[in-house]
Amino acid sequence: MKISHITFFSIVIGFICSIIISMSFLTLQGYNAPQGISVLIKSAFGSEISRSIWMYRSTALLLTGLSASLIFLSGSVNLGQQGTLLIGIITTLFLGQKMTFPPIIQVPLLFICASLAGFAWNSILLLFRFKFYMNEMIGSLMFNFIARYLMSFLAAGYFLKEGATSIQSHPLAPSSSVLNMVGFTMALVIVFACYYFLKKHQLGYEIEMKGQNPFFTRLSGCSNKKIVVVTTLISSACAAMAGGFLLMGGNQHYYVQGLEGNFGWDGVMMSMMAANNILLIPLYSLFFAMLQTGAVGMEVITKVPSEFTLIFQGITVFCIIAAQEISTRYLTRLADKERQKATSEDIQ
Amino acid sequence: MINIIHLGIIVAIPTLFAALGGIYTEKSKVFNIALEGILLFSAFAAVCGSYYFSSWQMGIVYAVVSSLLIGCFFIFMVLILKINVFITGLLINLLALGGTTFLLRLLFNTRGAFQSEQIQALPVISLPFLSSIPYIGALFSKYHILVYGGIISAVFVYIHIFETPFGLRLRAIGINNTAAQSGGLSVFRIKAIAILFSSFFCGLGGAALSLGFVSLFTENMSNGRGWIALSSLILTRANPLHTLFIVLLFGIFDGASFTLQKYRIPSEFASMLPYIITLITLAFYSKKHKISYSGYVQEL
Repeated sequence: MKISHITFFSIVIGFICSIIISMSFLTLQGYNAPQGISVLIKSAFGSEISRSIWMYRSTALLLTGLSASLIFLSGSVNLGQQGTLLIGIITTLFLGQKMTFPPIIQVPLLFICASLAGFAWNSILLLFRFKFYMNEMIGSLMFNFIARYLMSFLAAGYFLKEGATSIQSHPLAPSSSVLNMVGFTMALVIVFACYYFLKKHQLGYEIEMKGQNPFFTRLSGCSNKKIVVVTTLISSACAAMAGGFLLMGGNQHYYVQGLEGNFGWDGVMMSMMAANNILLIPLYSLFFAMLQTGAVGMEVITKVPSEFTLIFQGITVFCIIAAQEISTRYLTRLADKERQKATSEDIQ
Repeated sequence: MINIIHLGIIVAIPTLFAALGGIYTEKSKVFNIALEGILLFSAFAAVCGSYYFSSWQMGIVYAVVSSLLIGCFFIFMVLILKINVFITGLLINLLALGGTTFLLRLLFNTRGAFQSEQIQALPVISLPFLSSIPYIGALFSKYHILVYGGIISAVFVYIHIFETPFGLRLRAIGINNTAAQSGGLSVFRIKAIAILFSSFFCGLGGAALSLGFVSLFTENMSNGRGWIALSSLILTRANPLHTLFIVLLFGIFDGASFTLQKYRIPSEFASMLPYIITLITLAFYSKKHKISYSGYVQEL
């Protein structure tokens, strides 16, 4: 387990830059920037309830971020996290209302079913890819839209609670609730398990190698198809579990419109920031969840619109990516120069 | 039927502009997925311009200027800082979504949608002679000006890319970057111009989106049009005239979905239709031509 010093420093610099840029942005708009930021942080950690919400959101973000990271690590460009998350929600909602096992069976069963449904959903895409050589990115995006309309169709029809004024479903069976703390621990365990799988297991190594050079793995006798299928399985299971957790965790165990939020896309952004380093995902997901949780409190107290956090997220992503890119490039150049110097000394 | 096609053409125009913009970057092998974000942001800017000055001309100017600014940001990220194009595109999409939502709140103090009497829509005109033909005359009349602009632009882009020295250089860079550079071309300059052209057309698309069919702005208004544009230009291998055809076809399906709702087909399925059709067309087209952007054929 290690995160290199360069990554660490560029992350710190990126965070500092993003805070400076966002604060000056707020000041330009005539708000009290230091107060805004401090209230944002306070209202995310201040009370028992907000800490619980923070945990809830970061669990979903952890899982989607992991899902995106894994699939990018293997060299596929599948952006279907949001759609898979929705499929997870649909499956959990459907089965959670029907099944009434004791919690110890019910919860794992629901997670497994959601994962399998997520994989089934993505395997259609895999079929397209294997049979028709279709561009995976475009395909996964189309699947996202299809999943979104499927969700809104089911939410307004099959799942709709009679007599509800807004779009709302019946709650899950009471035995299918998960404490936010438990969910968060589970997600963390999954992240570390994936890390060890990638570093210590042969298949994990093959996945990483395929991401760097698919021809190398094929030449060395690995089946690239198998690697793609396994990665898709793990990745879509994670995204679908995030969807399942959105229903099973928290306080309300029913679907309301907008429950799915933007978790899938946030996951993609986090994996971009983490740049294939899975261990950074928990850090970013906690940060993103903090911003999203504190937004409402910030708006109530300091009048800064809660939408500001969306900008803050974007600026953070930009700063961290730029800092990492610049530092890596600078160091490579430095190393090149030293190598040249060494070579010329050798010649002399 | 005529009505469906008429509506379909109007619906297709923002996508068409985005696709035309995408062609420039696709030809120069800059994988531009920021079309969606630029489209969304310029739609917002168009509403702003039209609202503050009560004139549609200012709406278009605002849209184009804002999209060019985003283009400059794109150039800064991709060509100067040399950050991955894919990441930059996603970042721009994220910032556009967050930024428009935030600005909607900040400037107009509303959430979700913004509508006002002051927003002036694009003027609707009819072609003088064609519109008087019986039966099909309706196909040529009562469009807002950017519809005509879009179809002319498609022809312009075709000529610009396939018949001018600039287009030749652009395609040369797309085919072999290093060879073009050793041939004395400034890769940076041509790629930058391609990105700016791309943003310019997306800006027009944004104006058509928010001031054309309706005159309002809603949160996440572009709603995947940028992605459909991207898939349609991949489908047609970035040929502007083929893109024009396929985008109009998608538009007609999209327009038909409004009509399908009358026949008790759930509106969600009707809205799904363009995406499903894109998927199926893409699948068969890819099979036929084996277009493999990540080298799938060899890789698997």
